[in-house]
Amino acid sequence: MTEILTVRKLCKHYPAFELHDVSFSIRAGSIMGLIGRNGAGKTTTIKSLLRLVRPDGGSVEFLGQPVDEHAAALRREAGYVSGDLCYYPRKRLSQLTAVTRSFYPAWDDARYEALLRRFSLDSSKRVCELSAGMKVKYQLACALSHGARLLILDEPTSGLDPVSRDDLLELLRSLCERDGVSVLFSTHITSDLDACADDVTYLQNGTVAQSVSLAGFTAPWKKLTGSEAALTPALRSALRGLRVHRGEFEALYPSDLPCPAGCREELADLQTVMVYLEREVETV
Amino acid sequence: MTLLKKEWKLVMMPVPLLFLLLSALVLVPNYPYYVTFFYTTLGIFLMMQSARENRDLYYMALLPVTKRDMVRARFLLVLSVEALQVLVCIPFMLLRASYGSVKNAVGIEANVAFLGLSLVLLGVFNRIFFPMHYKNAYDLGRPFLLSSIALALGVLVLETLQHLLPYLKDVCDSYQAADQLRQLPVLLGGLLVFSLLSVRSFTLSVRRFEKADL
Repeated sequence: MTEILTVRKLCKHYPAFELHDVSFSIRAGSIMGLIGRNGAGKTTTIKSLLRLVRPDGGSVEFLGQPVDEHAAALRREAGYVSGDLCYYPRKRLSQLTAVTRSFYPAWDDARYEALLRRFSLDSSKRVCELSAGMKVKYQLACALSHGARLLILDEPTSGLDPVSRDDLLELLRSLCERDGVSVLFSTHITSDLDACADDVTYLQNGTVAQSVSLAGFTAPWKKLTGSEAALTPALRSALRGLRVHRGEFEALYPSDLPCPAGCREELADLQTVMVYLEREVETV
Repeated sequence: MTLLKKEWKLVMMPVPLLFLLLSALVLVPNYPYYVTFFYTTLGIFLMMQSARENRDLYYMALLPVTKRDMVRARFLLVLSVEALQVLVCIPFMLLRASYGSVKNAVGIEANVAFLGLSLVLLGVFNRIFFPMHYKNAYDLGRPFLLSSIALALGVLVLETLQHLLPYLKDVCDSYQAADQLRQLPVLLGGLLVFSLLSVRSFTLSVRRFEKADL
């Protein structure tokens, strides 16, 4: 599979924060999850991709072209969907769309109308009258109507009810499989990524801790719980993100090691791995 | 054209358009007519403020346009408002000229030279306001304050020169048709200065905006 977006050694320095050598790539037709705790650098990474901030170093290639020289082309071929539509709250959707469509030669009116119907969106409504979920759906309708090949989603499911979330994830999966659309999906709701992501890029303090397949991120670990008495020095050294509470411990444990006597193990999902790895960073 | 259309549909608001009608101030027999163009700059400031509060920058930043295009869009809107103000002034000036011998006791007459010198003032406003704003594409208060002070000083200088330079005193402070023809160089010179200052303002604004993080 070819790479639609390649990020190499992206750097951005702020007085209180530094994005350092961020590198990852997104394959065509795949969903890349971008995770990390607040302040890890997800938004700075996305803003750097879109050239809303000016990176101090590194490069971004979209469809093999450097974004520095083709920033407008990236935005023509990509769609940005934020959890909150923050501009022109008093404008009607029809007014915004009338302007937006004129910037995209490939705008497909029929598809736009079909998406409005699918998402039950009323174009005579004002932006401020939309729920958070409706705002996401409107942005998605616009992005898909201009034929975006890459969707950059920034916390798109935070304001959605479970049914709408499931609907959105299903839509993303079908877009990837059927139309070859690629998705960069930044979210704190990691269960959404468990459900749809192919790959995961995990940011820690402005650097990429891991950029691997979803299975490659979760499969090396299992969650181990047990009595504090079972914590031998050898076991302690194998655990990650150890927490002891009321005589019981819980931690990540390499999945290729056998379950120690007196302990219980269970599969680790994305959230479990991330939370325990973050715990370890806190205690270091 | 797409950029200009976007600006007029989303950024334009009623107030700057209503301020265009303040060109009628030249009908007041005794009035510092340069104030008319201060209202133009006030309208531009309010428009910029509304665009900022509506987070137009974020809307624009996600469209397939470059940062240069974003600045160009705003300049196209501003220049079209300034051009409209000049155009709307003309019928009121003609009406004012029909008053005959009533002289404006507090400043220059509303004539061809007045338009040329007003263009210089608008050029000064553009030169100071926009490059300051595009340093971070957020600040508006300080750029407007400083450009307004420059505008006020400009008016003071022009009105003073009106009394000191014979050409300005004898030729440029008149409604006579023959004098207004002799004022044409002031209009053309004003247009040239306005163009040079606005082009310089645009290039500086683009350069600063390219470096700004949104």
